[in-house]
Amino acid sequence: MNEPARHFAAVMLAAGAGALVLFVLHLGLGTVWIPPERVFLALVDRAADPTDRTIVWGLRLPRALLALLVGMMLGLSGALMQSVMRNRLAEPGLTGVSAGGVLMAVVFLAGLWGLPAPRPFLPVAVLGGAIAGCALVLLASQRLGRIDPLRLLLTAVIVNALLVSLTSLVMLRSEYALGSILPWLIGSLNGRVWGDAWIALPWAGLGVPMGLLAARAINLLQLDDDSSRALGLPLHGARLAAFALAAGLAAGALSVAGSVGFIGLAAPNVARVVAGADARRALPLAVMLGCLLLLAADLVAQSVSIKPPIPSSTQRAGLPVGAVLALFGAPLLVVLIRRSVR
Amino acid sequence: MRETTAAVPGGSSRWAAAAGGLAAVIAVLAVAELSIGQPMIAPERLPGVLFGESGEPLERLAIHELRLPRLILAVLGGAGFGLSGAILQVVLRNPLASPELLGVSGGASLAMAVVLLLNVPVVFSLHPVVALAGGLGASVVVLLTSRGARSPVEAALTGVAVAALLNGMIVAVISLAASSGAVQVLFLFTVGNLSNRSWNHVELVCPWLAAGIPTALVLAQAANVLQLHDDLSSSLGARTLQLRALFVVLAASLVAALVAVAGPIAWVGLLTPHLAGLLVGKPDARLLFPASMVIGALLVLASDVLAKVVIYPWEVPVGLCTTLVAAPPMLWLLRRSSAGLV
Repeated sequence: MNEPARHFAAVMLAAGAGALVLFVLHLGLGTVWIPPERVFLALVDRAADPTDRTIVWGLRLPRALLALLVGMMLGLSGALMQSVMRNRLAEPGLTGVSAGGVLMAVVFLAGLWGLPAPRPFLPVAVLGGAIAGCALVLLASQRLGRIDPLRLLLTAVIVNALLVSLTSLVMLRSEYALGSILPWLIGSLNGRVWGDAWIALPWAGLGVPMGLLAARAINLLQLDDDSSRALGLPLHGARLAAFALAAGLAAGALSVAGSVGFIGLAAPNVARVVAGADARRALPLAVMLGCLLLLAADLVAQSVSIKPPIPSSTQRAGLPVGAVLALFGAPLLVVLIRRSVR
Repeated sequence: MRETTAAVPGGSSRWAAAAGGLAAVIAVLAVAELSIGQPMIAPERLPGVLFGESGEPLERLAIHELRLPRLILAVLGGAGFGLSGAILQVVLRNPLASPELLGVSGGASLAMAVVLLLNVPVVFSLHPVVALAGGLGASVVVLLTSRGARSPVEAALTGVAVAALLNGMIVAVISLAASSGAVQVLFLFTVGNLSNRSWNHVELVCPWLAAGIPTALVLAQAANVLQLHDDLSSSLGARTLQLRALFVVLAASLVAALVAVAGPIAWVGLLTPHLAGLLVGKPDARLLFPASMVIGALLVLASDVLAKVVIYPWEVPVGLCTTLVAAPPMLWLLRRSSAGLV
């Protein structure tokens, strides 16, 4: 093995180990703390105390699995978008994908079109909204076929505001059908159950391997147009396919966790710094970092929710993971904006 | 040097037409604002209920205790946010400066959320001071972070990142302190709202605007000097840094009291000065400031009428409608703007 390959293997191994540790901690954390060794025993169905098994399998595993899946999907989705748009600032939350998807999710769940709305089909509706939202942003920000990264971001901010307002209108119109608004607008994993995990699983199970297998084509897309064409890539088709895959991954994540931001921004950018521009390394690392980041952020959200710093409050909604991500993601966004100008 | 005299040769009839048109639209909107709601009061009966003794007790109560203060707050709110945006755009020489993109609205909302949700004992009359402190704190962060920005868009996007951070913090405070993640609790601090406001709220806002608006109009000539290149304005004897800081404080105090009673009314401060600029046709602050007040009032009033009818018989927060009204023209302006913006 040559030097970069060894380096990459070590990084992947470290990220994987980190994700595993966080996953076990995540399963242990809650109103009742379960130490890692008992979590492990409960997972393999050898628990001394049957309540351990009930808590781990019934309550905590779906949420931890969702953190894992959603993190992977968002990390990969952001990485694909950044490659297709050749824009380090692209991610589902900053291109209209999330806002459009969430609007459609809320319309779908509120039953506004009068048709039955079976939950497993939610991601399909979300995908439609995601593509429409992103198309709106791209159309509004392109000038003579070219898109300036910062102009795209500013356009996305305004389109996002518009779509979020529409989402809020739908929420107000049918609040009782939809419950809390927080998960949709800022992204949350609180109170997720197995049903949610089953919704996300097929999208992650299909989308993540497809994205990783497409790494070679993604590498070509990162070149300038003439070079990609000269190397025999059907440019428009490849770009559309990669973009559709990114939107599909985001739709799967949005359907179960709402508009979780900054993972799609942070994971690919860190992956690129660590593993270089080669998509065959950057994409798997982005997937790994995505789930690492979301597990870590959700651990913070969970632990703050158990022991609230405000003693007066008795009943709380619980801290949504999206709020934690905003605190860490916003400074990163500032740095990336600076870099994209230099 | 730029022509800064107010008189436009041969333009007086155009001015009269524009002023008359705006006044007529505002009058129609004011009548609609007073008529629409539960109970509906036909426009022809308004004078009797307003100035005479006619009308059911419920109608008299609705007009005198709810709709009149709401109308006044809508007009004052629009004027305040419009003027604040115009001041910021002129003195920071950034067409994308506005209370929301400078962190003023977000910081003020966060301060209010902390005070109200964590039960910090602050008397009602000092709420605007708290909001001002929050707004100024956040704006200092944005101004320091975006120092050295190469373009207006870069500075504005830094504001977007800080706004996302502040939003995350507001959500964190809400989800840890409020008893539910219900729509209304979130909207209380993230979306401007004018429903159920009373004369107390009008009284709280009035002194701040009564002091801020004349100050801004008197200082308009100084703001004009700041539009020049820094070297030039310094050679004209202006202390640019101190003067600019003074104007930022003025712009923040114009919206602080409004955010304290009505929440962050979104995008009016960003859009209004551009519409006012189209109307007055040249970048003279002595014309731009009053025009921004009038157009801001018109925008908020129109949005509030829309807020009452969009999902009638329910009302929605006015901030959702200002976004719906302002986003399309902002996208249009962004597309139309030359490369100088980016």
